Amino acid sequence: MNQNSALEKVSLRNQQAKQKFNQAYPHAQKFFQEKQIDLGKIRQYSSQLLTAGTLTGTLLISSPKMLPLPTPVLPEKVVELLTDQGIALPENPQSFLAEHLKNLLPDKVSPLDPDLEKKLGILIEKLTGVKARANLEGEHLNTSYGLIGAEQHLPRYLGDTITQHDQFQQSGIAPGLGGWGYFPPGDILREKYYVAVQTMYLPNWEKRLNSLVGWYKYRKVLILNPENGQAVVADIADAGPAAWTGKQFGGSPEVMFSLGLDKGPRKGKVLLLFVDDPDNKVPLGPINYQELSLPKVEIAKNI
Amino acid sequence: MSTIFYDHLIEFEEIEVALSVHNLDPKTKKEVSQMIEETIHYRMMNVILTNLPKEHHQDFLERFYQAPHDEGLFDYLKEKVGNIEDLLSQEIEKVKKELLADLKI
Repeated sequence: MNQNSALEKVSLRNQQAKQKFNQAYPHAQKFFQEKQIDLGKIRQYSSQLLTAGTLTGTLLISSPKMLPLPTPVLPEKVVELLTDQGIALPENPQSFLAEHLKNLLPDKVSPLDPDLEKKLGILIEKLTGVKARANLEGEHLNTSYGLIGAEQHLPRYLGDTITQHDQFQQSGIAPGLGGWGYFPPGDILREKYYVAVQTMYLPNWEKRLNSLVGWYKYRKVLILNPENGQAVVADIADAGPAAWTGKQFGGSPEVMFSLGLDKGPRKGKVLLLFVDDPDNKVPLGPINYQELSLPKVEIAKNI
Repeated sequence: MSTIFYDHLIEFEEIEVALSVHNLDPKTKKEVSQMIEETIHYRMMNVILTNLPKEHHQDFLERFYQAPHDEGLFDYLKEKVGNIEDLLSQEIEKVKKELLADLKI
């Protein structure tokens, strides 16, 4: 069976599913038509509703299951750190983060309460020295807490092959280009530490394409594995993964290695926050906690 | 993240692997991904409306339209169709098997 035949079969199955549904339930088809909703694109519509709800602080119907999980009670040590009560930073910030994030984050990946996101951003800034926020300049991904899975290398320039990548060659190289095409000449770190995020499910992605592409292109993010506290600064260079994979983010082989997620199923729960770096001073790559010289940050006013 | 209330039932990693074997260019990959996504939603909604008594269809559709992500929709459906989660899980498995067969080289 060749590729075309396989794809034709997927297309046919798609058509059959639509046809069967529309024939069996014309009243439902009519309902969606009247509401101007394409059932096949219900995810984009839902994202739009969720974003509108988050921005206005309103919920469309009252159901306890719709409410974001409340911010858990913060441990005393975390509160002291956040409110800058003059306590010394922990000797081992990585262990501190791992110890506390495991308790602060829900077992199942899900959107986080904006208040918790804000506090986590400040905590991470204190302990990594990187100013990272879930919401930056009004932009917010559909979730900041999700599952990341391993991606292949991306072609950096015309004629790039896997043998020209210095690490993790066994991961292979994607057949197509990343979301922004080839990488800027000589900028190998952007490919090494790239991440894929689900920009395609952002509300109004297609309508606001031009402005959003400009904002998301190579936008730096801090990704943190709450299980072990390992973190890496990466840049957004691709769109994906598809929602039906059950994952929300994709990481380059180097990103997955930096997070300690390069073995076994090669996926895991992570926090992903935008890096606030207007002067482009934060380097891409793993956070090396041993080499950090953490500045005293005045943050009490922010919470 | 759940943007649709039944998202937690969907995890098509095998499909992702099967698709990767085809080495599709990004545009085609995106199109195929969207077709898979659409197929899932139509098939899930088909199972729901097949098992939900017709007098509740309009009410369910309105609730779904109001908040497709609301996991409370499961509670609503379970009241009317006790084993709806099993039925949807079975359908998802069926879709997965069919797509795997389609994508087999």
